[in-house]
Amino acid sequence: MLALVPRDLDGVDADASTLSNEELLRRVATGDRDSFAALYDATAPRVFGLVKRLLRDHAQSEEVTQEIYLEIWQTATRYDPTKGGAMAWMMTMAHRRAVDRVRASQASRDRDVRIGIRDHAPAFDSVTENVEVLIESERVKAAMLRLTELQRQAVQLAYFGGYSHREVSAMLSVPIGTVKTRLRDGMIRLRDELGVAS
Amino acid sequence: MSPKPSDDIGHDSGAYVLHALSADERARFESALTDSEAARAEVTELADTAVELGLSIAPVEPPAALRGRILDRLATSPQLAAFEAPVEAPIDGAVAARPGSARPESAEERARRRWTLRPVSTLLAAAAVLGLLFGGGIAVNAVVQAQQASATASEVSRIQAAPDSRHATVRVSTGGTATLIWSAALKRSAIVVHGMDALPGGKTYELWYLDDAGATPAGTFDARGATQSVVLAGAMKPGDTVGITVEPSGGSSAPTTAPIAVVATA
Repeated sequence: MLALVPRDLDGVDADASTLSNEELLRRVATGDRDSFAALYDATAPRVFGLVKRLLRDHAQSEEVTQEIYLEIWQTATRYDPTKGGAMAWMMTMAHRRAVDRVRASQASRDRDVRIGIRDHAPAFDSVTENVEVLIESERVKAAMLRLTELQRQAVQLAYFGGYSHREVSAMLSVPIGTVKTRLRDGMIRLRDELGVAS
Repeated sequence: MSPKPSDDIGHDSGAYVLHALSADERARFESALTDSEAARAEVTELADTAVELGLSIAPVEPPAALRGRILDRLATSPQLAAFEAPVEAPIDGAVAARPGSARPESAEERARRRWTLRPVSTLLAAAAVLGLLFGGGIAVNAVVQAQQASATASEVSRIQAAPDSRHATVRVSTGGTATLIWSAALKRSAIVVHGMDALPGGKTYELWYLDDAGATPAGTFDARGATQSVVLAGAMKPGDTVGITVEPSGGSSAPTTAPIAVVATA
């Protein structure tokens, strides 16, 4: 595969920085490293920002970002543009990878959660109290504020904190079933507020 | 097949797209997804909604050095051009070492497995979009294969991303090359083979960890496609040498032929 030459670069060779992420990803799938570099330049601040939000730790965030981009390189052949945008594909992968890393220290976090929410308060506050600071987009911020308090807290802890539903349940002192329902209701509400449709 | 995802599993869709389920729950949810188009549609929309949350976070410029480090690794990062077979060895090398228990695979099983490869590649394209499995009615076997292939890719990139990751390439005496990628800290290694011949029926390639005490089986693979990556089963010890031999199908508990490739990690 690496030996394959991208087919339609003949003559046209557009400046990679003007290509869409989808087109770049398609070229990456043919082993085109220049397109990969261009894709990295176009997307890395988004990916790194997300990873760093979840992991906090700078060194770990770099490691995980590296894992994500190598996975993008390796699995670009599986990207199907008819199923969604390139950025969505990469951000979903990035979030999963970041959460995986958070989970890697699960044992210590489980212990924290068992000790009680009070001891967890700093992390909890930094995640939930900052809708204003946390979210840059006014549109998303407004949509978040339309959720109920419990929906918003659950969604924020899960997405921005990388907490499992079990941890969210302990932190908010509500049953797991309730957390699952709040997560679903909250995401449905967000979907409707943001006008996301497939 | 209910029109609405109203059962217990249906309530998991939010937690699923937020990656808040446990591994078991996620697997259960994904297999339930194959039965419900409504649930799949909901998951697609909610996953896109989660992406909106991600994009609402302020971008952070990564350190400049990271870019170079990532680009440097591309040369040793195989791309998944086609479906790749998972390692067909038990995790526990001791099981493979027991004579007679070397997981004999019938011709029928082999044929069936191959037969599933094509649908899987289609499935992978879909699954890759959101990291979930679309496509109702997909054989469970295919789903499992897809998950294993994805696990292989993800394990290879984990080894490559380890701070102490190293690699070495050797020629295979029967043709082709083999690149071993390893991390002593993770005690894991993966091999990327390129241009190796397909073996006649009844034969398989087998991987070994070699040390002073002898050879420990580390999985078997069949050359399939130009480039293929295989994660070795079992733990790598510092200084281990990795070898490849040709063995009867199912693998052997100790090498029965001379190695066709040897990579030293010391």
